[in-house]
Amino acid sequence: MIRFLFFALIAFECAFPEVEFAAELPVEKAIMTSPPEVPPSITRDSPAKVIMALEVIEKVGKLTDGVEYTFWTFGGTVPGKFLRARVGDTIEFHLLNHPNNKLPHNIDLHAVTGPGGGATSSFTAPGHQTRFTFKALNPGLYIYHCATAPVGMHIANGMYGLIYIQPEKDLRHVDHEYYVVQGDFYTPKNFGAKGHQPFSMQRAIDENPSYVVFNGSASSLIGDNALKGKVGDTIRLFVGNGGPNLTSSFHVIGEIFDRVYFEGGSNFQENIQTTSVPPGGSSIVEFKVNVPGTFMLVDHALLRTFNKGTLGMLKVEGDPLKDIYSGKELDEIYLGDESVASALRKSSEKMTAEAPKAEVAKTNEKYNGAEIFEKNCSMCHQNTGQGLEGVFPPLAKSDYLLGIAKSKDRKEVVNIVLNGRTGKIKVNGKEYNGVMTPVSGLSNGELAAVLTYVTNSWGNKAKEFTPSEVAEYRKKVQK
Amino acid sequence: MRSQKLFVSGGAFIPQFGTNKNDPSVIVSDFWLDSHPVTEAAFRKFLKSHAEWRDEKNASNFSDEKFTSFWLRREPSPNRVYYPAIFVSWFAASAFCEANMGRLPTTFEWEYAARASATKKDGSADGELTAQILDWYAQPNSANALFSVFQGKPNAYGIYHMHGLIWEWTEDFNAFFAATDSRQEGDKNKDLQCGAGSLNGANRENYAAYIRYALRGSLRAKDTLSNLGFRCAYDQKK
Repeated sequence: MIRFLFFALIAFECAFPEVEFAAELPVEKAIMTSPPEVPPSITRDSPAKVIMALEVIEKVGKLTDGVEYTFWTFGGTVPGKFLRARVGDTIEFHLLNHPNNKLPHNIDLHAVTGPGGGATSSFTAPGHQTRFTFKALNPGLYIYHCATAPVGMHIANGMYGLIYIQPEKDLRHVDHEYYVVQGDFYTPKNFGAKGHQPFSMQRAIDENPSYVVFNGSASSLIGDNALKGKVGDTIRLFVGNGGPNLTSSFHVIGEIFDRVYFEGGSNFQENIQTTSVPPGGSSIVEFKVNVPGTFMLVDHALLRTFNKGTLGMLKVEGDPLKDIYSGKELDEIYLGDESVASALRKSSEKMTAEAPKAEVAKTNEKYNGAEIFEKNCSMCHQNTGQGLEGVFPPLAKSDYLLGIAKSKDRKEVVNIVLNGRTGKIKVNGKEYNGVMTPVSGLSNGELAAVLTYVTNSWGNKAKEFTPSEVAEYRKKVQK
Repeated sequence: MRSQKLFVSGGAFIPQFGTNKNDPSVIVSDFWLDSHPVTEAAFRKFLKSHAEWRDEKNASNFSDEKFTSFWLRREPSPNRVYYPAIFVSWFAASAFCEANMGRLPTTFEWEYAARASATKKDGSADGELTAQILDWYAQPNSANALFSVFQGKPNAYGIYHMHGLIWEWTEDFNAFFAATDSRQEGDKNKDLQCGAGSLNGANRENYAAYIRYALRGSLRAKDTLSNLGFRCAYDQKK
């Protein structure tokens, strides 16, 4: 008789090989964690029956310092508990609605293949519990959320979380896994208005949130609540977006995602700066922290980060690696234009050195020769006309210059300015063999002013140049 | 102060969930409604004269353990005398109303009387009213202690606490929660899950109404809640 039953069983199993007798599956209770922690990787390599029980709790919490809000939660937190199972598992799901709650709730897990994602089978009045069972047919990172009308309000009050169905071969080992879910919240007054704030249906319909935060609060991942790591650690973030309305442009400042399992799916992209996480969607990002510091988690739609609270922190400790990131190496004055820079440098040097008596240079009425000199000539000939030894000839007490300036025919000096000069010259006993580039754009009046200034400063003295004189010379030397 | 039977003049209105997709409005006939929710005192009086409800074994067929524990095993607190009667099942509420020559109001009658604001019989255009109702729903139970039904202000019909104190039973509380397993194409799936519920609602911005229908639809006739009570309706004044 026993043998008959045995053969019958084998025959049955051969005919229906996919049938796993529920009684044969090992039964285990799911390990569930509160954010930002993630349950450990499941190491078994065959399916099991996994028991999950989530309790709905309506409770008052903190949106930011000084601001309270009534959250509707799965398991007492926003997001709710992190659920973890393996592809092929049979999951027996219990939903418990605490008797102190005011409203009925249900759950739609995106990992469920079945009507409502489980919502139709989990509608639970306060003080009651319901149960349904589903098979995890697909691996991936899935959002779960309440789906009781009005759904927008249930989700906007924080009723969402993540369920991770591991693939047959789980993702590679990392040092830390963390759980981060962005959500938008709607109150009649803007961010920061103190006291207990109610839900604003109108702002939710208008998609105009007052708070956009990670893990239900602007302070959930900052300061003492920051995520932690050490230099050299590999980090994986299971990122979700409960919405209800806004898409997240998820980015970690100062880090690049080595891998992004975009949309929480099976394939990954590499070397990503910012990844889109739609409401009701997810993403798995991995990166190695190479240098110490505080790395900010943000929504790169940055006004949300700065004005509505979408900011988290990852604090990495350890020794710096200066060849990867040096930190600030230099901080000095920047003056913009070079002539101004050298002028300021020279004037500060002049103050310390014993300066010759500053001559009041003659200027023509209209033009300021000193200014024109500073703009066009001082970069080479220097502010006090001393030039640069061996490179740029001096103008101060220059025998070469004054020789021309004191003669009757002074067109040479106009020639030099307008047409430039190359080749050997001797100035004050020293040889110069450089290139002076022509100075263009000066009118006769301007040229007269600067020539007058040069030939009457720093110990020089010569007859004033007039615009008409310059005009005549210009005609003669014009090329 | 006492609860009175108030006349509610019938008329047409558009409930959140009607019966006919082609015509969203519904006609409610004249009826009378209790001005206040039934109090603890009134329900205890009913229990005194209805032994079958004091019998735990019998009562457990028509209610749950919380009814038994609250009404049959606990000493009544003098503070709660005029609090609304809670932890009552649909069966218990129906029995009470029957004993008082009445019945539970239908959902349409209840929603019709509840649409009034403080000043207007038809307050459905009053966004303020919806926001106030929603605020009460959004607060946790702990923040909303029960209080005497004789406190507070009435609406335009003279009816007290249609909102803001307790949920209330109606005669056909589960008529709007159709079978959720609909395999037929083109079936009018009136369940309150997600899209189906929201798309079938008459006013998609009346979140307060959605919440009420969802709450009623989640209950079964034997269930009780710490914030679920009732009032009675009558077809004639007696």
